[in-house]
Amino acid sequence: MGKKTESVLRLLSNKPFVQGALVLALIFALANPLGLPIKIDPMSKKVYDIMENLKPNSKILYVASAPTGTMGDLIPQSVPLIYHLMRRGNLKLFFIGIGESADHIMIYIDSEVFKRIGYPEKYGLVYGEDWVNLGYVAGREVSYENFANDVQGTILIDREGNRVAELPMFEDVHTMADFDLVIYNGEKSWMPIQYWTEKFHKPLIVLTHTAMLPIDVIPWYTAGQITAYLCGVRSGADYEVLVDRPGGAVAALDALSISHLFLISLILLGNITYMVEKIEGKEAK
Amino acid sequence: MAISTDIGVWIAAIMIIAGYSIIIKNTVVFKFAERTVLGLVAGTTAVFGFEQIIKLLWIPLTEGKIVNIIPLIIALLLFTRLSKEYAYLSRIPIIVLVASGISLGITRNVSTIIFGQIKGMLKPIPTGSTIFDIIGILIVPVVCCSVLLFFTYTREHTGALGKVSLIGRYALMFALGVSFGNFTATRTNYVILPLKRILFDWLGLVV
Amino acid sequence: MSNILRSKEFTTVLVFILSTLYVLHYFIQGVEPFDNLMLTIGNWAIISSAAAAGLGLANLSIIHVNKIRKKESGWYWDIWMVSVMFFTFLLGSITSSQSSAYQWIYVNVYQPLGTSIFSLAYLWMCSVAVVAFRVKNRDAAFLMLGGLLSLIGNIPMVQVYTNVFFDAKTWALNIPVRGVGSALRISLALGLVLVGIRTWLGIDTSYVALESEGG
Repeated sequence: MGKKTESVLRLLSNKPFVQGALVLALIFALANPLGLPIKIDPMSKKVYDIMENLKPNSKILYVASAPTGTMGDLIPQSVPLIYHLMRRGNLKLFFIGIGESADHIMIYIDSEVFKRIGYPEKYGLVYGEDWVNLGYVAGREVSYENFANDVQGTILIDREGNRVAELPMFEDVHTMADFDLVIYNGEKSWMPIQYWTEKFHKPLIVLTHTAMLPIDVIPWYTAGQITAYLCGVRSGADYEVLVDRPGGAVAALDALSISHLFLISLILLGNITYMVEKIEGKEAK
Repeated sequence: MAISTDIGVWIAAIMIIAGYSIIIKNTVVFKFAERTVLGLVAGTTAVFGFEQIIKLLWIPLTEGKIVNIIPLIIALLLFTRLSKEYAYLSRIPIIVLVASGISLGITRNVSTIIFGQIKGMLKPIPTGSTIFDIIGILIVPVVCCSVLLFFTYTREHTGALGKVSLIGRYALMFALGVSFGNFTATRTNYVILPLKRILFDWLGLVV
Repeated sequence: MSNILRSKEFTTVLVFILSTLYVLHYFIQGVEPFDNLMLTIGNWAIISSAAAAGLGLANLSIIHVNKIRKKESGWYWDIWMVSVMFFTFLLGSITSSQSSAYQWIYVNVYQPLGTSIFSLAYLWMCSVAVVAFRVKNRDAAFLMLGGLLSLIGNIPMVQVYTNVFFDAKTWALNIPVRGVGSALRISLALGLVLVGIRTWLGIDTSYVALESEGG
């Protein structure tokens, strides 16, 4: 291998150098956004139109189901969506966390999301009548199944300590059939499909990671098992523009571009050095 | 730029920097961060489990729902796992969990995933489709079948099977590549969130 | 009595009965006593899931307290970890996870640590990208083709100037990748169904360690 190729390879294989360079590049991109225009993805517009056309007093079930570490790609699209739902002012919102670690997301929605966009009371929503935080349900398959067939029996007490059976919102909510729309914010989108939408034929909007899109979301969407989806910060940025409330997702787009360009250049450089090695190896022979 | 005076924001920033300190070297600072997060994960998970038990089991039991003694006993039997002598008793709660999970999975996987996915692929071609659309629609079941053949047939991939499963193999590699690209986007966002906290919440950067 | 509970037959019969009830319930619905029975068993399973979190706490405590007693390497870190674990648990269970103190710890300690440590995998991936993603054969070429298409298609900056890569990525997602995704989902589902049937019929009992418990 030539000396130049070797030194380039050594530099690019130096983990602290590469990792540090990436972090610095991201910090630079976050601190100096270019403010480029955003092209709205048709899927984000579809979700927006669905939310906008919901009938008044529609019962919306918002399910959070993912661990804390994955929040970076789950929260950016949920913040503007929750803002949109609350801004409507005439919907019934049921928030719940199902599955391991789900309650962390519930706490985050409670303490951080509402802190940024305002608590539901700011939008004229009354707790127990217009919105409710049902807290967390442990388990996986069986909790989805039980919740679908007996909502009040599976929850019993909401996060504020109220009996759900005594809340006005639950007067006509007993099974999954009584909800009008399910919004699932998590990684395992097959769970609500299997236990809720298949049996009760409810529209399902999935908010998930970009990584889940190819193998997890697209097969369901193209088979008609999901109505629409928002994946990652990119969709979050689209939705922030649609609800006219630019925030964290729009601010992160330049950093997203920089990191992709960084990784592409590393991969291309790695392949170029590999080809140069092969050519030099052939020449040496 | 106004650095935050909130102690919580300062602690969050210190934790993020401690977490990222491994980039430079695996030091005491990172070990502290690592052990802290492990302790927090275990502690918080136990809190949520505890609250669930209080809500679903204890409160109804204290209000007269005597039948809740049974799940209380089942839940307590899980802890016999820690004893060598009585560990066999923990089978009962494990059986309840396993039986409910797998049997729900059997029925739902067949109806929703297997039939649902096949049904989704076998739809009539919509009217007004271009030749490009028709080719695309036909590619999907061909790729699906070739990937399934690649996975499920354990005999040697030669002859006709070899050629078809080759399509499946290349399609699989292509799809994994696309997944990798999306995976990159997701993981970048995981890095961006704590960095935003440092820049905007702690350092008070305004852009 | 303990011989019966230790026996393999007890485990397999109980699993068979419960699983059969669940499978029957998929087909027979609207019979109130049966629905109530299945909801009750489901609630027991949910409560057992919740109790498993406490088992995790207890197990971790035993392991790390033993390490501390024997003063194994890094035992002082175990003291810190166990202290954090119990402090969090006691704070949350005494005050509730709704309390401002608990939420403060979550927002200012757990969430920043969790997200930063979880994100380290990506930084590591970038640092090995130079060597790991080399096109050495045809399979790797297809992998890279898909990867580069997706990477470039996901760059918001590129989409401002041209939609070609985004449209190509969308086509790839909706056609070949969709076929692969469906195949993977069907394969996975088939595997789960087969494992489920084996467990249901008692052929597979690996979920309980029969030998070590004298079964």
